[in-house]
Amino acid sequence: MEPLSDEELIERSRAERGSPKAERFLNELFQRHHAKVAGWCLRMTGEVNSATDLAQEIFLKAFQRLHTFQGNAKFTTWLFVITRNHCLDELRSKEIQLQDSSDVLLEGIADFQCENISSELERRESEKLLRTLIREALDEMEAKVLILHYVNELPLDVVNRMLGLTNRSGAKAYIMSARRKLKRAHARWKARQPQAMREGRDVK
Amino acid sequence: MSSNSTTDRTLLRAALARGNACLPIERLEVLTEGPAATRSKLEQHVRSCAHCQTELELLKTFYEGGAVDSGDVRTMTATLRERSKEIFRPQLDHTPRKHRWWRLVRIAWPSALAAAAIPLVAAVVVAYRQASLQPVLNETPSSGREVFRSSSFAVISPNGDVPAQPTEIRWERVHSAAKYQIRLSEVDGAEVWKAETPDDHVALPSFVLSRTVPAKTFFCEVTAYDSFGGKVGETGSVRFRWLLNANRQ
Repeated sequence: MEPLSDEELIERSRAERGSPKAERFLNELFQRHHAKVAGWCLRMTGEVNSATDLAQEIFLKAFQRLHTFQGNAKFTTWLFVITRNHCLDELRSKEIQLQDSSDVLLEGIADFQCENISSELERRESEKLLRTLIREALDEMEAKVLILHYVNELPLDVVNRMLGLTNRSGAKAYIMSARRKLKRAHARWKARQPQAMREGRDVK
Repeated sequence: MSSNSTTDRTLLRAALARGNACLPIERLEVLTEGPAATRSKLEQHVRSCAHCQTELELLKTFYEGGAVDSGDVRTMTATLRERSKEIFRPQLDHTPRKHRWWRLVRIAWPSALAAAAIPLVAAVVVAYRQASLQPVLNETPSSGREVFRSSSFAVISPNGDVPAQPTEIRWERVHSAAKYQIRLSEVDGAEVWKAETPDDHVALPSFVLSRTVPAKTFFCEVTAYDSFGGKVGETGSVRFRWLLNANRQ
């Protein structure tokens, strides 16, 4: 007999709500995903005991919110969103600060320095330019490292484990290489601009 | 941290953030194993979008996590299996049980009376002995025990495996202490919460209560200070864990 899908297990547990059968269905459902959540938490914390506690909290949260599962996505994807958000909240609650060494990415690029961005319009222009440079100059892995570190605020050691980076300096090496490429790309972009525009921007 | 680096980060975050054309997670899911025709349409956007590429990579990492055969993950899944009951129990216990009144009739009344009398007699004997042997040294509305000279004192509760969710921390009062510093941490040493109080107990705030899930281990440490800020005692690290079946073990 074919085993029940995740979604079918949820349906059955809802139908048997409050009975021991419901617990059995949910137990089976969650056990299928223990390794996924455990592996993810281990990547986040790098330590078995705290990762196990984190995984338990995630399953507790998933259990408490199971009534919100509508079936728009697969259960695995739904669980992924809960897992990722819970882990990010956990990292933020521990107030892990981004390492200073990585905050040099835009150093030396005048257009991206705060003293040169005084209005909302300039900020939007700088943002647009930076987005273009990132798309054109960086490779896939460099962009992923930047997103995980700067947007998701993951510390560098977590980025290393998440992306399975095994090179000597890990994510930091990608950030440094991204910095070099962005600087060169910016210089090329600057050279393409008409003289008047260049001066206009630099005068500020 | 300099304001420059803060601007860098704000600018970077804005430039790398999710765009309007970015795919929601349930569409990205299709790229992991959806039909080829749908996949090719979505791939066009993902190929040029670093944000969606990263999201997809994370999703795949999660999906494939179950396939990784690692000793650590095996240990963790075994622990999670053991703790499964702890995850379901608090909620399932909330379901109202049918009250069957006729079961009361089956109780043997003489045995019940005898069982009730034993703790009553024991309590009277203990109270009499305590009243006759211990002089009252300092009657304060505290948790009871007080430490006068020793530099170490004890956390009264929670301590070890406890059957109910702890809502406060209570410790022995230290005679010369003007205030107590309480520190709560997780197994990896990460601080969860810290507080100071002149009392011999402190209530756990709601955000801590939400994190004290069944079977999760915490460490609590209380340090006593005199009115000059000098340390006059400490409890050391005390482990506690809320186990739903702790009183049965």
